[in-house]
Amino acid sequence: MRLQILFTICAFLQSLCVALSHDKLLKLSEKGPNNVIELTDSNFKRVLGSPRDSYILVFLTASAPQVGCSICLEAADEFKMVANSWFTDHPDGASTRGKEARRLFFAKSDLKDAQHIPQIFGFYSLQHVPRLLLFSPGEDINKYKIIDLAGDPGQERALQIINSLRSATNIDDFNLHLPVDWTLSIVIAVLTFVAVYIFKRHRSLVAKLVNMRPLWAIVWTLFIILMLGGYMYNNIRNAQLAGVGPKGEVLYFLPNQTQNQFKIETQVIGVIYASLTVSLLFLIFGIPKLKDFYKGSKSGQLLEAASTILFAAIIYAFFAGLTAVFNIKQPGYPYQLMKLSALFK
Amino acid sequence: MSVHKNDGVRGVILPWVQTLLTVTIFVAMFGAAISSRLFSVIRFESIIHEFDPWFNFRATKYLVSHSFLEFLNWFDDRTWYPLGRVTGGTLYPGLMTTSGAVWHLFRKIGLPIDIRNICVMFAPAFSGVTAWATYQFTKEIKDSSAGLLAGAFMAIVPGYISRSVAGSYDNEAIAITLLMVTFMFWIKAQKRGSILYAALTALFYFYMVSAWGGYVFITNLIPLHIFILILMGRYNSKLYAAYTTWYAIGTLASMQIPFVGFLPIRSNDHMAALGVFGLIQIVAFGNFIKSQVPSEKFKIVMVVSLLVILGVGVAGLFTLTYMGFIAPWTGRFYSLWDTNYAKIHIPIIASVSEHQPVAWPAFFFDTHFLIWLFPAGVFLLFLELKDEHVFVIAYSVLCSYFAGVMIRLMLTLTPVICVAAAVTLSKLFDIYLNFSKDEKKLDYSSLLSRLVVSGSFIYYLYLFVFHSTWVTRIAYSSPSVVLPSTTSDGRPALIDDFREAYYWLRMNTDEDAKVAAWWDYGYQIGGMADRTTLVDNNTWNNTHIAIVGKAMSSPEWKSYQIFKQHDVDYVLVIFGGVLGFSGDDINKFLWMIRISEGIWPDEIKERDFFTSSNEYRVDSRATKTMKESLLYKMSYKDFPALFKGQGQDKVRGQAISAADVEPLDYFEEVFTSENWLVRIYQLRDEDPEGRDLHDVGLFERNTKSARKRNSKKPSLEMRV
Repeated sequence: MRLQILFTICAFLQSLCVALSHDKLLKLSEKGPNNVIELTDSNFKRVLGSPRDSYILVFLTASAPQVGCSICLEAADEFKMVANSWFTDHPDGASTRGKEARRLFFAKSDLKDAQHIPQIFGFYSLQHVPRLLLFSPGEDINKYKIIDLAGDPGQERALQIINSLRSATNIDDFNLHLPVDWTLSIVIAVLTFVAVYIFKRHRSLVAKLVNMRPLWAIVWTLFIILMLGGYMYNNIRNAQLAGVGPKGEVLYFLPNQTQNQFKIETQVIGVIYASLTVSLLFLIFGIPKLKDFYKGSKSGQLLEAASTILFAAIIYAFFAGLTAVFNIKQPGYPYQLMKLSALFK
Repeated sequence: MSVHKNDGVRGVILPWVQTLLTVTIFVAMFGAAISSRLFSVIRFESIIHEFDPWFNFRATKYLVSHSFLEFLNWFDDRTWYPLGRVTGGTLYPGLMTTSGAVWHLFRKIGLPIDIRNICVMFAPAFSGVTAWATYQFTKEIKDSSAGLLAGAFMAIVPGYISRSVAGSYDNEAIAITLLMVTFMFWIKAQKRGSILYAALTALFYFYMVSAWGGYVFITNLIPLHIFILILMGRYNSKLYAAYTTWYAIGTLASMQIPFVGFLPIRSNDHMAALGVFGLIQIVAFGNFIKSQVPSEKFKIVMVVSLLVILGVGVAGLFTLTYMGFIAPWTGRFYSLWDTNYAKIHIPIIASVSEHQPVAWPAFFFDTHFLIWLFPAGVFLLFLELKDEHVFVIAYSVLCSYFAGVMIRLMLTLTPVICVAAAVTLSKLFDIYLNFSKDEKKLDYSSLLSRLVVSGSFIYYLYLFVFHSTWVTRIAYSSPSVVLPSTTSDGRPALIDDFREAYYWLRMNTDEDAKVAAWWDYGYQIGGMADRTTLVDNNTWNNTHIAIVGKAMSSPEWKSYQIFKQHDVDYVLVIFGGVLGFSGDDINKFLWMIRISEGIWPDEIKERDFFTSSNEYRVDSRATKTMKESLLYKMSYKDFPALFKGQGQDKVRGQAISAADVEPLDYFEEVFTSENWLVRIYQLRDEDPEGRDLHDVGLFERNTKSARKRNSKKPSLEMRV
């Protein structure tokens, strides 16, 4: 009889301990951004090592630009999406649908600075980032299960993570909640409003704008320049903005690759093409206008000749730049133009 | 070319000089166009290139040896075994009939030429005509000096050469010519309102429909041109005459092609043309009424009724499509607008390298400095904005988008780049290359500036020629059947493994043996080895392709079952690990897996082929599923032994050891080419004692282990 009481007390105490740990985790998790516990060098052993009755999903990642891990950045969003989905349905981090409550918390450690590698990375002797480790209740710091990152980036991968979690933890009521993106609706609403308003109030102005040929010309010429710069490639392939070189410097051009590019290349090439177009148009339109304006005067002739040569030189400079950039993409390109700057070296 | 009013000798001589120059320029243009496409013949030999041309070549041979009607009714039982293919009804016959006609013509005049040589030289010969059509087209847009520039650009621009070198006997070889001729006649027709030209447009449109699936581009671009002109309020009776003539004759004519049939009235791809045809009737009627009853109110009635009709038309289209009376857009068309469509729904379209999006270097590579003259040209046309300029602008805007999405559509963008660039350059030359002495005294500063501008642009033209030749030489002149290479002491050598293997098949296998290989090689096996294939480059049956993909990615016993069910005798794989040939089957493996996963998601899983750290590996860290797959075993069989136990895969850069490659029990290696590029395996017969072939293999290995292994590997020296 006494023994039984002792057992009861023990069990009660034990459950109290565990319950404390759950509350503690909840508190910790509420402290962190998006309900994610930040693992630091000082706390990770305590969080993962102390006895617990909750699952913890640990996300190990490296957002430092020197590492150049683009999947990490995508995975961080997906991790955030998963954590938010969980806490939308279960504010206290526990699912009570099954016989016993199942608790799940999220923790994260991020290598933000290449100089300082968090201890947890060394503790688990990490070879790859990003990594998702699932710690089960009642087990120690060395036992975990790896959750795979599978599928296409974004929604689909977040869904995959949730599915793996569901099967690993037997939690049924874990659904993906997408963050509602209002921006598009708002933008459309505002634009419609503005368009209708302008059309109502300033009909003649709108008619003038619609009939303005140079406006159409500029819009569509810019569109073509954008397309020629590989804009669709960026969209379809979800290209990286820029790269990181071996010494940690920023790379603007993906070298040796004519089939692939960074997003920023489109901008650089767009500027080159646009400048060339503007200079060409100036040569074709501007110079004859200038000539008419200064008809007959000696200084006008000089000005005309000087500006003509100037624009020819600008075209040469940009074209030389273009071939130089192309040489990065296709090394050994034989018909590179000599750069103007080479004259002054 | 300005017309001079001077009298006397100058007036007589000048036109002659001009004519002489024009003729010389055209002769030079033809010469340049043809000779720059001959690299591949000179460096290799007169051979049909790549994959699709082999089918076209086979079909042409069938055409010249049979009658035309037999050709149209051709049922091919040697492809897509056991389904077969209604080849006559599913091909575009324009290319074959043209070369067949040329062949007959030469025979009639006493010059019998091998059909292969006609097919090889077909594309270069037609490229000259394209240049001429581009000249005529641009002449209508600006003037003949711009036309000459555009024609010369078109003759040597690499973006067009890419699909028209000697030996690349593909539909595009003739289609671009027809595209430009059709557009040229269209511009002439709409400018003059001429029924003759419109009928010619329709005639060449029909020719185009018979030659290339890309005719849909014309079917939509011409109505778009008319639609924009109507929106701009530029409707006139010339447009009416041109458009209705073209639409009526062109549509009726195009329906005569068996493969097209009733598509023009039943497919969404063609509905825009029909809609504009209806619209132009209403607009014409409205215009007629307006001329009878002049009233301000009428304009409003007109606009409102047009809007209502447009709304009803679009709604009707949706309903009809929904109810199934009109075929929805084709998958390829969807993937142009919704760029993720193909990746999700039709992996077979996404898998084709021609359907990849383009990064910017490809544009520069294919057009050199025309690429930055092009936007300026579009801008210039905008400022002038005659009716025909609207056409060029719509063409440029649409095609620069399409080319960005799909690399193969670069081909349709190239002509308009040439036209717009020629307009820019000739405007520039009109100003800066005009040294006629109409000013009273010579002005040195002005002369200098003109010399600088025109000199620099002539220098760019000069560079353009070199660039084009260079691109043609390094990128577009390889037949990809024979691969160029160099020996260890630097002399050029040819890697001829494909033909070696196909020849082996032709000579050593049963005439109706069935060969299973990934679809890329279907046409070549049919054309060069003359053996029956399961799948080929005409990817009409996704499930059938998935079957081959499944067999390649399944364990051996399962593949054996699948292949046995399909009567397969031989399996052919391409392996580049010895040579460093990156287009081999292991690199294409993921597409095989993805395509078959689309049909059997329970049995094939892409995930199983990646290691736990998400890597695609083929060495000792490869997954179990990978190592068990048939393709892996077939590719790496005996590969480590070639390098004494540890083979370095030159494509993947990974080391494969003997322990990684499990033995093949159900298949027997019968042929491996000189550089291991092609490996052919035969399905073993079922065991006469009724044992499972795997057990037989185990048994034999155990009894044989004491004896020395008897290898059947060819004892040829490697060439690196």
